[in-house]
Amino acid sequence: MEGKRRRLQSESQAQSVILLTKIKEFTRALLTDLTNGRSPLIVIDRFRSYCAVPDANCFCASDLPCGKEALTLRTKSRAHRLVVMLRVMLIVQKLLQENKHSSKRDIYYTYPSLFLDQSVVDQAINDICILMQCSRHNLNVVSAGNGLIMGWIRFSEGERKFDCISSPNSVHPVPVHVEDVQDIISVAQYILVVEKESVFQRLANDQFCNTNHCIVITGRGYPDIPTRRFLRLLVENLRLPVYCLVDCDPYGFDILTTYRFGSMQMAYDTKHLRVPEIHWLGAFPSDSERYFVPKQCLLPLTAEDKRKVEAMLLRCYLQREVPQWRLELKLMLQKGVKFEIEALSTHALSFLTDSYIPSKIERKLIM
Amino acid sequence: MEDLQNSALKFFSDQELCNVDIVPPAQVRARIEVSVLNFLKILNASNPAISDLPLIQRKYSNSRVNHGLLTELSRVFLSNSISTRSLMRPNAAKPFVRVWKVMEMCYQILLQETRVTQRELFYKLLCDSPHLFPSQTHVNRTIQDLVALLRCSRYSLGIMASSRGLIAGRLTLQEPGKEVVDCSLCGSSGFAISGDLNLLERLVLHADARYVIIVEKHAIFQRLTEDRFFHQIPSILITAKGYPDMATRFLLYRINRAFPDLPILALVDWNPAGLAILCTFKFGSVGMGLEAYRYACNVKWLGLRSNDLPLVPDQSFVPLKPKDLQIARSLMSSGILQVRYPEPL
Amino acid sequence: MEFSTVQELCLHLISSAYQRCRLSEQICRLAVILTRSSSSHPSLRISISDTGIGNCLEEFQDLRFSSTDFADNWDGMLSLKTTSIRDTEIHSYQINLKERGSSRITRLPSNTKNGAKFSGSEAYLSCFVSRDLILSDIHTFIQKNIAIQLVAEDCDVPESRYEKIFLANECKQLPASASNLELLKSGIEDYVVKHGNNLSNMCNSCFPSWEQLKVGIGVACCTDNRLNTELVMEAVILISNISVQNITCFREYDNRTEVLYFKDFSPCTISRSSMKALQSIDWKTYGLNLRGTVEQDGVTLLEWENLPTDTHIDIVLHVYHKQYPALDRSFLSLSETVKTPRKLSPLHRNLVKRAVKLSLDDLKANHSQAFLSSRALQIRGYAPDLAKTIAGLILSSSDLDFQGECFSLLGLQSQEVGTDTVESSIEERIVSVIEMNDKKPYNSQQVAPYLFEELENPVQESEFQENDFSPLDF
Repeated sequence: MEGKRRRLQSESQAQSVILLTKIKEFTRALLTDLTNGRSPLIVIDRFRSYCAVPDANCFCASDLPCGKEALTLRTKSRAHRLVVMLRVMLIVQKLLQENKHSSKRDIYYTYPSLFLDQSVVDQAINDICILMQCSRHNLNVVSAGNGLIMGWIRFSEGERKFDCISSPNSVHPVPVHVEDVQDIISVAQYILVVEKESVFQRLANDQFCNTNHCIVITGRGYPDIPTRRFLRLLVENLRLPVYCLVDCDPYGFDILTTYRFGSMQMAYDTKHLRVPEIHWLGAFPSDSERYFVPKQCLLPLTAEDKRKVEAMLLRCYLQREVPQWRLELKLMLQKGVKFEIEALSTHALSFLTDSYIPSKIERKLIM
Repeated sequence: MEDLQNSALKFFSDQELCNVDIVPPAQVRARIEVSVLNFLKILNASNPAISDLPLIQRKYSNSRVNHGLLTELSRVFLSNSISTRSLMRPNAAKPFVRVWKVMEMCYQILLQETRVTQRELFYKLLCDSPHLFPSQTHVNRTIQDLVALLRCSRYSLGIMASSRGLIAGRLTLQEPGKEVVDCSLCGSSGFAISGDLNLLERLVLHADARYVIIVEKHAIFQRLTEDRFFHQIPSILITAKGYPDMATRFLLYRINRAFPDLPILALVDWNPAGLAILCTFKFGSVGMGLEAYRYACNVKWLGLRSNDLPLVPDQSFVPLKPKDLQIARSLMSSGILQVRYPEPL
Repeated sequence: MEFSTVQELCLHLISSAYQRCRLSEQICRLAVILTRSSSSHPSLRISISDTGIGNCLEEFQDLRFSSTDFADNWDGMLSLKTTSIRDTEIHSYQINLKERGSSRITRLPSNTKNGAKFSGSEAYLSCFVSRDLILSDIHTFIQKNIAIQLVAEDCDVPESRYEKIFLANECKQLPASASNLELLKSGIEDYVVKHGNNLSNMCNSCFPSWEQLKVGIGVACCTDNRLNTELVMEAVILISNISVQNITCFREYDNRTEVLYFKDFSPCTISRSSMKALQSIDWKTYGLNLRGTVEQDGVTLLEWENLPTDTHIDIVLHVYHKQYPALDRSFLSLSETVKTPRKLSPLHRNLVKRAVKLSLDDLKANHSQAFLSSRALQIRGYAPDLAKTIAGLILSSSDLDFQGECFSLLGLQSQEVGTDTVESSIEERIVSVIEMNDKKPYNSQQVAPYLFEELENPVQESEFQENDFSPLDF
C-alpha cells in the first residue's frame, strides 16, 4: 500500500521534473532567438475532435493535429497571446516547483488587468499543454470538481477513503486529483452517468442503488475534467458497461457526445478524456411515444436549438461511429420538440428507478 | 450560552416576528388538512366566502433587524406583515389557485413518503395544469408562498434540497450507526454536505478546531484544504460555492450550536456579491423566504476588508459591473448593514 | 315644422294620434281610413282618428305645409275634431296649413257630447295623392308601431277594400292597463321573435318558447327645465339564444345588435349623443365586450367581441315627454332634421346611460349566471381547477375523520361520495360565491376572511403584485 502510494507520488514528481525541464528548454530557445535578433516563432499544433463534413475522409478520429498556428510578435493579437502564454508558463513553473495546485480562475486573478478575460487564460493553458505534450493536470492546474458519485464502489484518493459501498445511496464528490486515486474496488454491474444533479438526487431518494448494483455518476451539466478523467479511470479499471442518461434536448445530446468523444476545446487531450465505451440509455426522441410523455411536457425547439442540432448533425464522428444516434438526433429535429428526463416521471415519481432504467438495460434499448 | 440564545429567541417571538421550522410530515399534513377544513367552513358559512390566503410578506419593507440583547446574535426577521392571495382579485387569482395546486402536490408527496426535486414538481404541475405553471419560476415562487402560508420549511413540504456545500478540517461527523467521517482526511474536494436536513440534524459532531471559516469561493476552499490550512490554524472550513444554500447554512448553524465558543469568520471577495454572501450567512436573506432567518450565525468578517486592500496588487482590481452596483444598492437600502459596514461599498 | 308631402304629414298625424292614445293610459283605438268617395270626386279622403286624450291647438301652431311639387295635390285644409275627457263638447276647427298668421285657424261650431265622458280626435283632409303611395308609406311606418287598424276603401271599385289590423303582440296578451314600458318590452319581444318583422308570425324554429328570451328593463327620468316637462327614457335589452343547429334562419345583422330608437312614440334614427352614451357604458361589468359601432343602411349597429354565436342582443330605447304636446317640436320630429339644442345633449346622454345600465342590472339580477362581469368570468374560470384540487386533497387523505368532517361540511352522505360529487359540490359553492360577489359593486365587496383566524389583525396589508420580489430574490 505505502509502496504504491510512494510510487504514485514519485511518478507525478517525475512528470513535474520532465515538464520543468521542457519549460527551461523552451525559455532557453526563446532567449537564443531574442539575443540573435530573431523574432521568436512558436508553432502550436491545432487539434479538433470532429469536422463538419460528415462524408469526407477526415482524420478527426486519429488524434493527430490538423494544422498549425504560429505565434510571433508581428501582430498585436498574436503578441498578446504570446505574452499571456509566457506569463501563465511562469505561474505553472512556480506551481510545479512548489508542488502546489491552482485553478484556472486563480491564475486569472493573479493578473486580471493583463489577462483581461478568463478565456485568454484558458487558451494559454491549452497552448502550453499542446507545446509540452501533456495534460492539463500535469501543469498542476486543476478545476474544482463538480461531479458526484454514489453506488457500489470503494476507492481512495491519497489519504482519503471513499467508502460508497457502506451506504450506496449517499452522495460523494468526485475526486479532483484523479492521478492519486487507487485501490478501486467495486461489485457494481454497470456505471450509470446522468446529466443532471436533480436526476441523480431522484435516484438517491429512490434508493436506486439498493435494487441496482451499479455506480452512478453525474457531472452536473457539461462534465468537468476531473469527472471525465475519473469516469475513464473507472471504465479502464473495472471494465464495466457505461450508460448515459441525458435530457432529450440539444444540450443533453451535446453532453452525451462530450462524454463519448470529448469536447472541441480539449481536443488536444481527447485521448485521455473520452469514454468511447459509453452507451446512450436515453432519453431518445423516440422515447416520448414509447413512454407516453404528456404533450405539455414536449417543448418546442427554439430557433437556437434547431441551429445547434443542425450543426451537430454535421459532426463527422456521428456518421462514422454512431449513425443510429444521428438518426435519433434527426428525429428530434423532425419532431421539433424536446423534453427533459423529469418529463418521463410525470405519471409516477419513481418511474426512472422502478421501470425506465432497469428495463432499458435489460431489454437492451440502448444505443 | 445555549440558554441565552433561547431567551433571546423568546424575546424575538414576543415581537410577533415570523420564521418557520422543519416540521415532521404528519404535522405538515395536519396543517394542510386544517387549511382544507377552514376553506370549506368559510365556503359553507351562512355568509359564504372564499377565504384569502394570508402570506407573510417577503420584502425588505417587512424585514426587521433584531439585535439580541444578551448575545451578539443579530438577524433579519420578517414581521407579521401580510400579503394576501385572494381569488377575487383578478391579478391575484392565479397565484391563489397555484398555492392550492402546489399544496395538493405536496400533500400527495408527503403521503407517499417520498421527496421531489423542484424540477419534478414543475413537470408534474405542467402536466396537471399547464396554464397555471408555464415555467419553473412560477413553481418556485408558489413554493415560497406555501412556506409562508403553512409556516413550515420547504424541506418539510417534501421538496428535496440540493446542496452545493463542502466542509473540511478539524471536524468529524457521524451518522448514528455509521462510520465516522473525518473531514481533515477529505482531500481537496472536502466532504459534500448533504441536502437532507434530517440527516444533518442527526449528525453527531466532534471538533478540535479554534475557528470556523466560511470561504466564499470553491477554488479558494480547494487551495486552503490542499495546503492543509486547517492544521496550521486549527479550523473548520466550509464553503457554499457562492450564495449559501439552506443545507450549508443549517450545518453551520448546527456547528455553531454544538461549539458556541468557536468564532465564525468569513473570507469573502471584496465586492458587493461577497458582502451579500456574508450578510446571508450572518443575518439570513429576505429572498430565501421565511426559513432563511432560522439559521443566522454570528459571523465575523475576516476579509477581504478595505484595510486589506493595500496588500492587493493594483492589477488585481476589476471595476464594478452594473450587476454589482445593483446588489450594492439593494444591500445599502436593506437596513441590515449598520454604520460599521457601509463605508467599504 | 314644415312638411312638403301629404305622406309625411300623415305619418306625423298618425304618430301624434298614437302618442295621445298612449298618454291616455286606456286601451285606445287608432284608425286610419283612406276613402275615395266617387269617380266624380277623384280626391282621396284621409281620416286619422283616435280615442286618445284629444288635441290641443298649440300642436298645430307651427305646423306648415309648403309643397314643392309642381302639381299641387292638396289645398292645405286640415279639418279637426277633438275633445278631451273634461270637455263638454266636441270642438271643430279648420286649419289652413298653407297659410301663416292668425287667420289660418277657423273655429267651426262645436257639437255637444250630451254628458257622455269620452275623449278623442279626428283629423281629415282630402287630396289627390295616389292611394297606394300613401298606403305603402303608412304600412312601413306602423310596422314598427303596434295595434293599428288600417283600412283603405274605394267606393267605385267593389272588393277594393284593404284592411289590416296590426296587433301589439300576437304571442302575448297584455292587460289593458299595461304601462308604456311593458308595451315597449312586449313590442321588442314581438319584433325579435319575428326576426325583425320579416315574418308575420314568431319563428318557431329559433324560438320554440318565450322562456329563452332574457329581458331587462330600465327607466330613467329627468326634468327638462327649459320645457318645464319631464323627460322619460325607457330602455329594454333583450338577449336571445338561438339553437345553434338552426342556421337556415336569416338574420339581417348576424351577431350585431340593431339599436331601435323611438322618440315620443315614433321610430327615428338614433341621435349621436345616445350613441355616445351607449359607447361609454361599461359593458365589461356585465361580461360584454363592445368592439365598436358601425353604420349599415342607415342603421346603427353595435359590434361585440367574443359573443357566442348563438347569442343575440337587441336593444330598444324610447324617449318621450310626459306632458302632451311637448312644445319643443324637435322631440316630435320624425327624423333628426331639427337640431337638438346643444345643451340638452349631456342630459340626454346621461339619461340613456342610466336607463341602459338599469336594464342591464335588471338582466343581471334575474339571470345571474349569464351576466357576470368579465372579471368574475375570469375568476370563475379557476373554479373547476380549485374545486378539483381541494377535492383531491380531501379524497387522497388517509385520515377518515378528516374526510368525514369535510363530507359533512359539504352535506354529503358518505355512501354517495365519489370524486365527481365532491368536486361538483365544491365547485358549485365556489361559483355561487363568485356570482354573489359580482352582484355587489366592486368597492363595496366585503373583505374575505383569512384562511387562518389568528391572523385577523395583521400589521399591515398590501396588495399583491405579480413582480413583488426584491432584486436579492435568489
